[in-house]
Amino acid sequence: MAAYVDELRAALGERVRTEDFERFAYGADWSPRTPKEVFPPDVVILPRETEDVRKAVEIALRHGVPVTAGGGLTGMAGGAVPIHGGIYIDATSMNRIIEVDAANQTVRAQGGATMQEILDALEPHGLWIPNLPESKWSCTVASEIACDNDSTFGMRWGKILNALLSVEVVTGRAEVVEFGHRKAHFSSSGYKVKDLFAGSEGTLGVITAATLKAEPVADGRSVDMILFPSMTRAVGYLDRLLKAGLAIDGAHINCKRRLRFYTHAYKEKHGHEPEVPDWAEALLAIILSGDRKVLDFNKKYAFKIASEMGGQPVKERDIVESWWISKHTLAFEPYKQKWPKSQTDKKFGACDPGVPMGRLEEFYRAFVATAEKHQLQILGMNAYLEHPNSIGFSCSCALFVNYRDQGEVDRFRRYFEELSRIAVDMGGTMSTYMGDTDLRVPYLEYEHGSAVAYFRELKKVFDPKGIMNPGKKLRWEGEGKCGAGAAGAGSVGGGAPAPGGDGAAGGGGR
Amino acid sequence: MTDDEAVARFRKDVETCFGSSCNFCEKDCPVYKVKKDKSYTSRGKNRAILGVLEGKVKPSEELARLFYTCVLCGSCDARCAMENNQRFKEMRRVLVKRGLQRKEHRDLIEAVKGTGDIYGRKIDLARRFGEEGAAPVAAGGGPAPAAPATVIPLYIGCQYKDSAEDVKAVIKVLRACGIEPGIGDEYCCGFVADALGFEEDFKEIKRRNREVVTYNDFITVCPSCTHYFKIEYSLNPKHVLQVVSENLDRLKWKQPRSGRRKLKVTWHDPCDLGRRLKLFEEPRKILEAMGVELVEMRLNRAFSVCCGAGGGILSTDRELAREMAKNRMRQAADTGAEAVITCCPTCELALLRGSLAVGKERGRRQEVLGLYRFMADHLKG
Repeated sequence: MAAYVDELRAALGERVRTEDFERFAYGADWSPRTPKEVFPPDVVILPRETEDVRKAVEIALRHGVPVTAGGGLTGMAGGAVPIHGGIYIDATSMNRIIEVDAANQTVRAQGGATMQEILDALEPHGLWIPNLPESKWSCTVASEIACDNDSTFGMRWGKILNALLSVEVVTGRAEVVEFGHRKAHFSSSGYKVKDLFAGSEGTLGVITAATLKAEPVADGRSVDMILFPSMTRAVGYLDRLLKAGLAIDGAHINCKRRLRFYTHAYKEKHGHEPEVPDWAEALLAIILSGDRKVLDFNKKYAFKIASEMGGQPVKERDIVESWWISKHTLAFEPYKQKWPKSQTDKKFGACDPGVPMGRLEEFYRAFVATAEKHQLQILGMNAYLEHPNSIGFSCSCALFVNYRDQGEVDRFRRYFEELSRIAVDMGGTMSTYMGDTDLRVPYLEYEHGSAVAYFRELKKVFDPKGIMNPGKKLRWEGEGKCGAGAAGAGSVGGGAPAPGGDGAAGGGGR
Repeated sequence: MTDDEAVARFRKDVETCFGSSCNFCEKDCPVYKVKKDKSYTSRGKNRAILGVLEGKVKPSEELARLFYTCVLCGSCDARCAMENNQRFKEMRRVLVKRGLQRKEHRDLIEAVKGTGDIYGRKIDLARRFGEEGAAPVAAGGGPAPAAPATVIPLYIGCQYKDSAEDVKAVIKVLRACGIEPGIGDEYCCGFVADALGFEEDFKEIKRRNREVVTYNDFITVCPSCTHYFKIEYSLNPKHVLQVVSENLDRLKWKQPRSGRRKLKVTWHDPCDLGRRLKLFEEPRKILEAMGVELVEMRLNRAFSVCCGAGGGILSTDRELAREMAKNRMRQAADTGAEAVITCCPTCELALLRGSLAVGKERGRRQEVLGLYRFMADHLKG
């Protein structure tokens, strides 16, 4: 056993895990990978307090051991997979709700609290957090921040940064630092360093606590679907609603194929796929909320504009309800939960680029062509609107991937790269909710050019020894330096992959 | 089938879990809630099996500890679409075959085989409850010649045998339903051997059981026995609560005096009664007929949470069991109910311990009541 493991035991006692099966549980997330591509850490720690994390990072720093922190491990690109072994910090053991300040509509929680646990704590106060991914039962607030995840309600409340007021971090220097502006919603004082942690993927430090802005729960909410003959028409419709002055909580433009993935509950109930007219190429799901009277008026007004613009509301409520169960309530019938049932042979795998408003239809065609070129089965595209009160897309371009077939997984990774580059070519971005992880490291310059050199310098400020989730976001420069101490505990996952190579996979989640 | 083949048979499911990685199982897993260690979730255990299949995890005493640190409550199954609990039970069989059994479990199984009772006792049930006026049932099944023709055999089960108050209550309630219960010799249903992975011993216990318990249609008191007789023996047991639920129109209950408020209670679904036998509505129907105010815990019915004492955990980790019971009782306390009512000897005891601890935390202790005695106390006449 390596000396650093003994030191961890001395510092954390029983909250250190080294058995093979204990480590194996932490070696993969939800990203497409074969069962052979599990990268267990050398040791797992279960901290209870920030000080536990600080002690662990201090030991890691002294020994040059990689540190990867994670939450629910439901990431879609391997962001929290410890590809270079070392110490894994299971932050879910730090899940205390520190304070609900109802008068100021804020909540502070330890980094390992799940978004659902935060929702539960806010509920008695008539408050909620709208930054909610489908994985909210497992996704921790630290992961939500570190992965810069997206949300079902992004069109009104945006991504997590819109709610993040302050963040406590154990940096790669083993120092505990609070970045942010306490309970104030914004600040012109200091540098906005707090914002760097959104999408930082654990490469700058471990997020141990966060203060978020909560929102009052509205009296009513409506969820509807409107069919359009094209994505462009659906985009035009949303633009028109914004111009009309409507506040839209959430909007999701699904292609017809993608809808089928969200209608699991419908199929369980009716025994067949929902019927959608042939002409309908885009299915816009739209969420509104407010006082009942306002909501009724807004909904009527939205439907009126829809009919003027060639949209047709979906009348069969079970289709809409089924989508809503999948996206938000997760109220699947017992023993019939969607995810294991739909991934017996192939699994969901997606690329997550963002493209400018006017190029969605064109990008959709590119997605289909790229998937077909790599002989991958198309699951469909969903464009989430993730910027408050404007048309900003997060495109989930999903496939069914045979994760037992290394060849198909490799083809998926080539598709992932190609589609990422296409989005940049269209004036967009490679990633909108998964992050760069190790997958995009080899071509990060394609989007960011000379800015990558500044990224490296920035990382050094927080993580001078390069121990924090090495190989993610940036090429691992300290080969042989970081990770040298990791071998002692005995790797069970085989050798670490070449950063960004085919053996690597990495992490954000939806 | 060799044990290697048995593990290999799990491959498709554990790979499906690996592929979906939804982690929904973690949300309400009572063990995970206490341990906060992902290896103990259903996903974690599936991944451990995958590790064994991939040659990355070695079967060991520590691995056996992982599989025995599970209450086999089925909460993860309700949040999934696969039969994880069955797989974990089968994995225990593999571990036992590889000699990784726990000594206390082996001792328990030997006691069952020696006496037909999980506590190693020899109790003459006919004599004990015959004094209560229960009709005897001849060894070998069927009513004894002296018994009335309407007698239906009543299988009490190891865990209720010693609880005379419960058995008396069951007899009283069944008679009010117009049924004369017959009591005779019993032999353990063997659920404990199956749950702990002693496959060959379970077969042996089943064989011996059928030499003693030869009837096919009978009434059962314990949810676990009922489940096992139904699923593993393919017999037709009917749980007492089913019988009562079917005869509610014959029963008259003491109602609160006019102007006095109803007792506020919450129902804890035992795992075998609820998730396995799907008897969710019967107890609720009974409680409502009795005129109490029934409030639900946040997690109820198929998503109910284990009392913390299932799956043999009491012989592996008592402290963990205590913490799980506390967590369940915290949910019960959140309802504001004055009492938690349930119908399983294991749950009753575990929740009672939990209520003592949570009572100290909250400054007010909830009562934990068994439904049989509660019914008997409230029967009119």
